[in-house]
Amino acid sequence: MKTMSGKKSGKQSKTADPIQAAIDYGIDISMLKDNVKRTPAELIRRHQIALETAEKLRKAKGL
Amino acid sequence: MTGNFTDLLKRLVKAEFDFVIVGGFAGVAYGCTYLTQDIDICCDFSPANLMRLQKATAGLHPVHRMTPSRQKLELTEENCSQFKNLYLDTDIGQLDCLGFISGIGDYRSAKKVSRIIDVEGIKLRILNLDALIESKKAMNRPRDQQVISQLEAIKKMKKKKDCRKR
Repeated sequence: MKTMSGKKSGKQSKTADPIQAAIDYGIDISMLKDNVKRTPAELIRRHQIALETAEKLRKAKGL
Repeated sequence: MTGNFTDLLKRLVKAEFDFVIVGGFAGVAYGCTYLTQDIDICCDFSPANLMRLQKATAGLHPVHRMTPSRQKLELTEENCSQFKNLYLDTDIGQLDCLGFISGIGDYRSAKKVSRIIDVEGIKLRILNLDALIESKKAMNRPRDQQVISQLEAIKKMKKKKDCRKR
């Protein structure tokens, strides 16, 4: 799995609030907020597009 | 090779293969932001069900991707009982079929803590959010920590969203 947040992560949060804990961890909460509004079908479709884009970039870079 | 997960799942459903979506792909369906390159499913490992898996993947050149020679998937009623898990690669994506999920149990137990989602007209069974979090916690792998953090934040956000609706 690859993170799409682009932020450094890994710090354990001591807060009991899961949203604050995710922020402390370095997760981009705005992306999660947008995703919560989406249907599973839309989320899977968007994941497929992102996966195909990542693959195209990988091929273009010759990685 | 990029997987076309929806097509792969459609094939499984069409073949009446009994499974529950678990793992990273289930997290994606709930809104996690990472990319995953395979689908993890918990399934019934009965010979009848595994033969349906074989039927569903026919023509996709399924192979055991964990074997050094990437052996072809060649299931028979007789050899089905030797498998506890199947780690497959196909022309349209990787599919990990698991007989047991940490923190949850076997297919029957996973089915009890699952829900149905509609994706492009097909009904897919997926672990419910609490069970998915439980399974990730039970695995206790460092790489799952961020996933757990995302899932718990999503759970809280969904709860807030549901409260606002009422």
